[in-house]
Amino acid sequence: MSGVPATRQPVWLRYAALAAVAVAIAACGRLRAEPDRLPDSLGEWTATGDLSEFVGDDLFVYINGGAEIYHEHGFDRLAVREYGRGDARASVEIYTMAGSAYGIYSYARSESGQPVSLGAGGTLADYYLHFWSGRHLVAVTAQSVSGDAQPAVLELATLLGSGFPRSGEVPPLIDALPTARCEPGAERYVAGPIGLNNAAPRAATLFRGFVEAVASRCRSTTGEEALLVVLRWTDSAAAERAVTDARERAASMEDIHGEPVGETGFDFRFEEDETMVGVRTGSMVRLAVTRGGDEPDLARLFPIDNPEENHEPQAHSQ
Amino acid sequence: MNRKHTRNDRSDDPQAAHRITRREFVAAGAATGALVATGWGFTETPTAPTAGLAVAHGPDAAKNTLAVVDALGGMDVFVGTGDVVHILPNAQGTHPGTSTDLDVVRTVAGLCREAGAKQVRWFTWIYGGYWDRSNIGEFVTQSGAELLRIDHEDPSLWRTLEVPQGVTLSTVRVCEALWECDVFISMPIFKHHIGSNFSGSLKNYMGASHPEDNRAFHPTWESDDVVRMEQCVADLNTVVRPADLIVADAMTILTSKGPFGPGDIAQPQQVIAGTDRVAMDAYGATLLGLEGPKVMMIRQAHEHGVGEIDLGAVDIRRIETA
Repeated sequence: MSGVPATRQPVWLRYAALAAVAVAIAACGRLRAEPDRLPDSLGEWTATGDLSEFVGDDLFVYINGGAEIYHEHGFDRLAVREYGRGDARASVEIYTMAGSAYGIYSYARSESGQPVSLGAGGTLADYYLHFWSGRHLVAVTAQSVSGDAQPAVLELATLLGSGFPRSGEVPPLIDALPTARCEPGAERYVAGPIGLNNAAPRAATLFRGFVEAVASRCRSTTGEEALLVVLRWTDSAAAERAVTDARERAASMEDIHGEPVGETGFDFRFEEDETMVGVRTGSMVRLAVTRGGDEPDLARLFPIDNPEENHEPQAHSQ
Repeated sequence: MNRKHTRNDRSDDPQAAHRITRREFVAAGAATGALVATGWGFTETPTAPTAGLAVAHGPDAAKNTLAVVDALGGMDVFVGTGDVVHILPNAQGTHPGTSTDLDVVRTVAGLCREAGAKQVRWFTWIYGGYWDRSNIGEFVTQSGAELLRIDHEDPSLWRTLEVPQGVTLSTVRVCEALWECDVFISMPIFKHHIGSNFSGSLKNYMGASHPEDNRAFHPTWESDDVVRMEQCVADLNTVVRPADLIVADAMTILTSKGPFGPGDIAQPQQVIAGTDRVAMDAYGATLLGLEGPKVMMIRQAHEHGVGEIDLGAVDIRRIETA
């Protein structure tokens, strides 16, 4: 007796079968999870309708053109339910992303809201609240903007929050911003052109093909305000091409006057008294946009020496 | 029914002799605008429309709506006895500032009926369940009005249009319902949109263009064009049927995180009416702190000849309803 039995399955097939079972189990768990988190009642709040779920492209069925930014951030599925308590009405949306929900949270949250301790982090605005946890973004939104809305959404979100871990992976590129000098709650993680056009329209006009970016309003070490953006490409060659393309694009536009600064830098002047200066270092471009004619001082805005050429993601929690 | 831009014969309508037609209204508005533009101003008369745009401000959306339609000469100017009226609102959902105000919607529907409309239909291609989640859908159901759900998979309900002036679009599919009526009323809400920075009268037509085409409006790495949507909307507006009347909601509007929100809210407490999409949007943009000529979608539509972008050349009649 020797040799391999004729009926033995190839190793890859066994792994494939195991993987299929794992995916099925995960899918079942996921389908079960949201109804559990959105039950018929939450404290004094009672569901006013059934749970709705939207998977993949079905998000367009729910939010139409607003779906694009969620897809840019790796949307997987959404569970929605509306609740009422007396005359108050609020909707609860639980977005599940393919990876960390931090990016879509950083877009969705109110920049003028106040932090709340829910999930891995939350922000309370006047009539809505967002918090994120792992792959989930939770939005609780009152259907009116009355003075009662804020305490109502906070109460409902707090009831929901107990079901979500207080952890999640913050993209490491956020650390490329001088966060201590940035406006709290204004850091934005950007996953594509729609997000960049919203966070930093001037940068979106010129730069293409990046892998990820971050943006925030920050101050320099001497107090000057600027919109800071850090963009990362797959490698330094791609970033170099992107800067060259941006210079060419600027040269073809009537409302931009651009000048190269050395081999890796650039200085673009826009109509309306906006200035963008930046420099490529390896696979990343750091740039700053200011208004009012004063040229941003990159050395005071990004006092970071010799940043790594390739910013490899490293898991860490908030 | 396959009437295109036709109106009913009103020879048997005793009020017809006293009612000016939409064409007369537009001509009068243009003449008025020309007078204002040349510095002559105008003298208000009780029978002629006196405004290119009417803007009503006050806390009551219904009162504002009545005021702006009245300022344009009354709904009789636009809707005749026996007319079939198709209305396209923005029904985004229940988040504040994202959908056309329900009181504005109710008031316009009521005015159409009072003017003698035979049928008032609300139409959209929007997927099943979309209306049901919005207050507008609830209103349509409760009021007994007809809701036309345009099946986007039925090609007979769509008209493929060449876009000869298109910079980005060469063809686009638009639902036949836009033409299968005597009167078309567009009812946008002015608000922020992440893809185009602004949403109003011009962009409301994406509620009539095919959803698959709409998806191609959005920027992608492949398109290499972050302002693609704005250009597409401007192109689309060169081939659609112009609205006979636009009534825009600016009572409570979303000023960030649009079109769906939630996001920052402003409460201009205004309702605006007119017939010029570009002028309407140039005005609406100001409510979000934007300038019309700097919003690419509005500027491009103006350059396409769709309407007037210079608010200084538009007669704006303001009414306080409080």
